[in-house]
Amino acid sequence: MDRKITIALAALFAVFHLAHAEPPEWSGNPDKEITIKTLPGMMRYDTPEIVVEPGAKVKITIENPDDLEHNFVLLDQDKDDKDGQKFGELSFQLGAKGIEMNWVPDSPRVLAKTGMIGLKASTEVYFIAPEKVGMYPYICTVPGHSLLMRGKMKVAKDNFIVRDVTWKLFDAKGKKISKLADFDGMEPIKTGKAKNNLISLQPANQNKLRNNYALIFEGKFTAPKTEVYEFLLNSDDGSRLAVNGEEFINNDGIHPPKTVSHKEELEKGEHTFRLGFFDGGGGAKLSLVAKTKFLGSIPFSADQNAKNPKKKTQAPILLTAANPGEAIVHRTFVGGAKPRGIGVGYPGGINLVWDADVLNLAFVYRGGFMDVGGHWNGRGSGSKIAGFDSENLSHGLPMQELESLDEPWEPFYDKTIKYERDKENPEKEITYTDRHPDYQFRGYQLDKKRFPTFMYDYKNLKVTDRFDPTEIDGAEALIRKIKVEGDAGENIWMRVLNHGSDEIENGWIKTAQKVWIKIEGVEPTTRTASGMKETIVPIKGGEEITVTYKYTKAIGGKVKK
Amino acid sequence: MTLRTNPIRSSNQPCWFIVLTTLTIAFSAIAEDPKESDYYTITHFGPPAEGVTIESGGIVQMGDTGKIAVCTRRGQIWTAENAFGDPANVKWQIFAEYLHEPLGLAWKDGWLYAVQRPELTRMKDEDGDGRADIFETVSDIWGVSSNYHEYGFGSHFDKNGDIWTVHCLTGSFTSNTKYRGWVIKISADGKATPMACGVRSPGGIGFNAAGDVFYTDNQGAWNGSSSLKWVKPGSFQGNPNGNVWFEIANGAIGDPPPHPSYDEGPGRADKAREKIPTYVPPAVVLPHGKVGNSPTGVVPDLSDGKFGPFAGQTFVGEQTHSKVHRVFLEKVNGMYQGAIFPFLEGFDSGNIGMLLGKDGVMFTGGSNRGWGAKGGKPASFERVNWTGEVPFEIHEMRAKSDGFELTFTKPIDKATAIDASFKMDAYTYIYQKAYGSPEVDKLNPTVTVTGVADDGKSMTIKVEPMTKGHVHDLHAEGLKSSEGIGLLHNVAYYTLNEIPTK
Repeated sequence: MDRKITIALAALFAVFHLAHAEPPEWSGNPDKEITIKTLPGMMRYDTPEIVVEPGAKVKITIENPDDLEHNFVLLDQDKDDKDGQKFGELSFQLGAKGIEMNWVPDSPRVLAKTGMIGLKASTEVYFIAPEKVGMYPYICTVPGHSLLMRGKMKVAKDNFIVRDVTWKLFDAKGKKISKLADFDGMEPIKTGKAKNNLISLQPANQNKLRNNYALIFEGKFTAPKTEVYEFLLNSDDGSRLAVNGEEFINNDGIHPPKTVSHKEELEKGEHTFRLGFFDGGGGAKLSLVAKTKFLGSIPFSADQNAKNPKKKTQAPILLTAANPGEAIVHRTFVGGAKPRGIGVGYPGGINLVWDADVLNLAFVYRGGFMDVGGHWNGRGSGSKIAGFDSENLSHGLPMQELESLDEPWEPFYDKTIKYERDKENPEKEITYTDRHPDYQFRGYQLDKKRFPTFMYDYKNLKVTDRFDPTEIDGAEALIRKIKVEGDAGENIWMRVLNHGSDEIENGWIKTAQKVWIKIEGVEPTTRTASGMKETIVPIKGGEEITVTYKYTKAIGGKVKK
Repeated sequence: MTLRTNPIRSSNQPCWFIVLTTLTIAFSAIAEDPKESDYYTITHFGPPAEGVTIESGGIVQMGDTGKIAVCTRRGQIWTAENAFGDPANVKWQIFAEYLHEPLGLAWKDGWLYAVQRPELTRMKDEDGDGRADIFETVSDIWGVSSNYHEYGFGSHFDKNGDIWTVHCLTGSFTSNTKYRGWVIKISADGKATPMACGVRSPGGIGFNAAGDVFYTDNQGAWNGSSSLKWVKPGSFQGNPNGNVWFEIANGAIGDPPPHPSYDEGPGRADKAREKIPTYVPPAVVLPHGKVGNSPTGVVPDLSDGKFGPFAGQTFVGEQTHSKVHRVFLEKVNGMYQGAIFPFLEGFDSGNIGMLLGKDGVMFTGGSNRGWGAKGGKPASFERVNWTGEVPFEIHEMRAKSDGFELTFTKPIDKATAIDASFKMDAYTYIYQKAYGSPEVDKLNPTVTVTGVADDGKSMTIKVEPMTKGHVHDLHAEGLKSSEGIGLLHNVAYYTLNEIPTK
């Protein structure tokens, strides 16, 4: 082809495809609307694959909640660069021109592109899908990003079409719920149309309603041919799916993410579906995917975990001690502690998190130690405990001077400060974790078994805090030794239990939790202050306090003898 | 060079053809353009143990033990014996695990110091099993809020026995806990002093040969381009978000600087200096996209020639482009400024940690986690050695009142020291709250050769105009050495904060 013609055609093509505002002739009716988000800190899009019909009028909205600028570039097929990686590398050659070009190399391969999408901003791109069926890569071309930030647009005929999806939101209003039927007779508090016709956990952005709610999604889908459809429904907590009024899947009840599937031959043509879901508390997940031999997988929900329930988006990485019989220490961001968390996994399957911002035990737990999958991937979001039966017994500042026993215990030493964040927020107030001026963390020492002894100062006192694992009545237990050196003077107390109990049996304080405790070496006092029942011990200096924590039941629930 | 071959007998080579081929190789070794690897070699080290990902965040020499310590983003510290020889003979030992994303190591009196996200910690192996057993908190003056962005980087010990730490903002636009966006000086026994504010998103902190402190800051809010910045004590580095912490700094660096203007049209670093007296503009802009996208570690060359001809200069790591840059710094009217030159590329991953010892051996390494890097590998630990061959490079680029003085590592061919051998662009960036900036206020200064030293090792060029606050982007494509070869890197980017009077 004559080179001039090629360029002219490419230009025409570009004008036609690279629209950032909707072409007027679409009259506000794109054939397909898709929203793709960036995942904060992950250098990824949330959507690895989108599906469109050949020649469809497509509107894609890109939302960027990340702390970096990104773009979105849809590329034509190239058999030598199927995933767009080679194209992505071209942006390294752009030099300073890259900024003006929004890091998009000038190439006829670009079918659609956005400009740079700012932080917490979003943009739209409009284009006509290619006529040729197949896979088309999309990438972020900001240098280095395309290694991870990419996905594929599948152009296919006779797609499975989901439409007219509506939702109803129900609020249990504090009623204890354990199954979908518990919502029977309730009126929805809100209804609406599902964005992108996709099922999601938060269709109403119901931020304030994150637990004890139910959703019912109803909609239609068109099956392009008669064949066997396998539906996979993954949820936490319960869910049920009916197609054409017939129940296909019952995945009801309170449970962690669980997938239930059902296979059924469906006729070519239109069908209706109804999906019920509820969250009774804790984590929440909802994913519905259909699979067929000819169409592959068809997402009904933004979350596609049901497609491969075993494969999580972030594979867990479990930390274990370097040698048998040793403890492992892991400093990290972890839920249940202030940011300066120190996890310790002891041999025998008992673990704890000690909080170096607060200078105290945050919680104990048992089972696996730490999952660092989230911490060691992407930009690092922190670790998750890999065990269970987590119990917070005394998280909070350990010591205080009390003039009277009615005086409340000081809460965490959080502070607020105001500052001019930007023109729009000249007096933005922030709350931050501070370290209490009466305390100083000094670090820890590891013994031969790598068991740490934590060290801190409180006023003029030097405190060491150490734990040894053991087993009591067949269940995991920890023996904690707190040594206080120096002269405390008057009225200094240490809080050992922050939601205690009067009930004591053989020296064990029978908490309402899975862990009971026993205090030796000092005489404990139980008091109620600010409505909290607390167990405190007097500190004079020179004490060695022994606190034993024992799980009341062995794993599995039975008391072993 | 052309070589005649026999077209008829080009297949089934007879003996003479092999001779000819050998000759070709011998000739091309001379005539081929020199490569970086002719002068500096990169040696790759495998992981210390199977399954270990060595995302090197900080590297230090452990005193006179002969060992190198490396801390990783995953929280391990490894020590390496025999790291100067064949990588196959390195003896790795795990020293500590799992700290909170340490990004800076230092060594003093038998203690290894590490900057973790929430604190500076020192460690020691007291029982002699190779693993640290004492972990002491040296300072925790700054805060963390669980936001991934709140990285903390630390220097080696400075000439006075202090460590300098630099603390990333919370996200791109906020400082949600103590001293986010500040530089802090910490003595070996834990006395911490806030030294500078205005930091956005650092990638490393270190010194120049004079022992002054420099850190790298990444392009973003109030940073038009990434740059190397001078931590002048008491200075404001340009990003106002962290200035809230003047309230707790007890006057350590005086009163907070006035907030940069939002409204008075697009700002420029040069103009901001007039309104904000403590503002120190970037010493050396690392033009975004041209030389890299994400600068990191900073190390001076104190090897006195053992690392080649650049003694006294400063080297800067680059994560996205998997490179190391070379920087010449000079002080003009009390302000640091200078030039960046390309130095070495082709590293395995995104460089973060840097070490360049008095022995003239450089170690670097890093990761591409969360931000991609050209090298493509998820993690790396690598060594750079000088081969002993001197590359033909612009050695120094020094500002004069009417242009620049260039010095060279080898004598130049004076016949090529002509105006036509040079080209210059000049530009600056917008100083603004928005993320980054394009190159703006572009100029094309004329370059006139005004003098060449008799020994051919230096020359002066007149540049019209010389523009205060602009990057002067010099291309010297036509220049040749007396041996007839071009510069190994024929570009230099000089940031002209001040114009000298002489």
